[in-house]
Amino acid sequence: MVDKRRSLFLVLAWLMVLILPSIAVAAPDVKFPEPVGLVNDFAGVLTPQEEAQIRQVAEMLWQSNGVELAVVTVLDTSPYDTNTYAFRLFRAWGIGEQKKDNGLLVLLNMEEREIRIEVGTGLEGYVTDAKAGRILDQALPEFRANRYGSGLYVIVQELAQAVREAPGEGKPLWRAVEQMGPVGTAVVSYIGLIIFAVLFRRHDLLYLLLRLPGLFLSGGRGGRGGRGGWGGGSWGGGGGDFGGGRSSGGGSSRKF
Amino acid sequence: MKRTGLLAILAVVAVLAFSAIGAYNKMVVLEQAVDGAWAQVNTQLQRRYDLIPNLVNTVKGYAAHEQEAIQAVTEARAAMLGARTPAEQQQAAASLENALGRLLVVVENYPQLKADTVFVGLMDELAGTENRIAQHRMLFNDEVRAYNTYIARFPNVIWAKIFGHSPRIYFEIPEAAQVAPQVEF
Repeated sequence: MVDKRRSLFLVLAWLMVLILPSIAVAAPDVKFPEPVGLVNDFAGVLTPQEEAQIRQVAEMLWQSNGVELAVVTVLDTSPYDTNTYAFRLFRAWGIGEQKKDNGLLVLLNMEEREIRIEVGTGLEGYVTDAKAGRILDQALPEFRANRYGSGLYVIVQELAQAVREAPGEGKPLWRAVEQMGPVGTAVVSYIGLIIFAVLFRRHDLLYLLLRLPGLFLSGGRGGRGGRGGWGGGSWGGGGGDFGGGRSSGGGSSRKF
Repeated sequence: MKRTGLLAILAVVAVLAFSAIGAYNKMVVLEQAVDGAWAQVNTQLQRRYDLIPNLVNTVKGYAAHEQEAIQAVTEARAAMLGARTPAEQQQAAASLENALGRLLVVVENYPQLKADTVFVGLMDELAGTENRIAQHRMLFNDEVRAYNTYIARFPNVIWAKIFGHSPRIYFEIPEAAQVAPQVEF
């Protein structure tokens, strides 16, 4: 009896072992660095001023229509070539919003002295490969003179110009509210609730809402100077990340 | 005594059934991924196909008497239409790549053509298209690798035989084409 049990157990265990390999094979993945923002100077070729200039253009673009323009400098792209690195990095980070794929990547590869614009699938109509090539040609003299910062600045400005007409987020109001920070959000929701209360004749809610500022002002005395609300609105505020966009390998590359 | 034996048989059958169902579903998912990746490659091949008439016309404008190279590209392009299966399509794509490569070599002798802004734009489009094809070819091969590895493993290999799942072929980069349509400036 005990023997039977044991053999049953053994058979079951063996079958389990058979099933286990059904778990998928993980492809050998290359680890990409984590993004630090819209401008990622991993090669350390930008001065703080240059970086700030470039970031400003990228953030203004993001604020105006949600296009995520990432600038990356790397010392090398091993084990890939520049194009493949750009394509894979774009996917790994997910630059641009998911489904919309409205991202742009400017990749500077110092080892190969190569610059690439990788265009999110959703923006290929705005930045065709030919357009990307023309933009790179414009910036090429700067790179040849080792002025990487100004070269990237030229590219970023031209790209921002090209995609300015791209369809925006579809939720401009919400985006505007987001940019106001916590105080702005609170004010907008407060007004919204009052309108709701008036429209649906919820007098109880209306009463509560009208009492609220008074409560805050009396109770909140001395608690001033917390977090400054307005302003803000920078990309990735609060450890945000890229949106999950993809490219299809469109864009252009130049060696310099 | 008898019950234990029955129980053992039942357990074995259940485990086998689970293994078969799991393997089957996984194979279907992986095969779908392969097909999806191939569709992407095909889209990009189509893009190249669409691009060629413009390119050929521009080249003709400067180098009309390079009939042979131009003809080869046009013919290879036409051959893509006849290709139906992925294997045929890959074959056609390879010969088109070859023809394009030869055309680009010919173009080297025409500095005026190389300076033409339309031509430069078309070359960028072609380079972009070649890159799209290359990137999606790699993704496709990754999917094929995942699928082929899965169905080659034990015990999946048994289920794959039973359910008729055979290995897929990779989209190899033809030797000659590896060097061909590299667009440099």
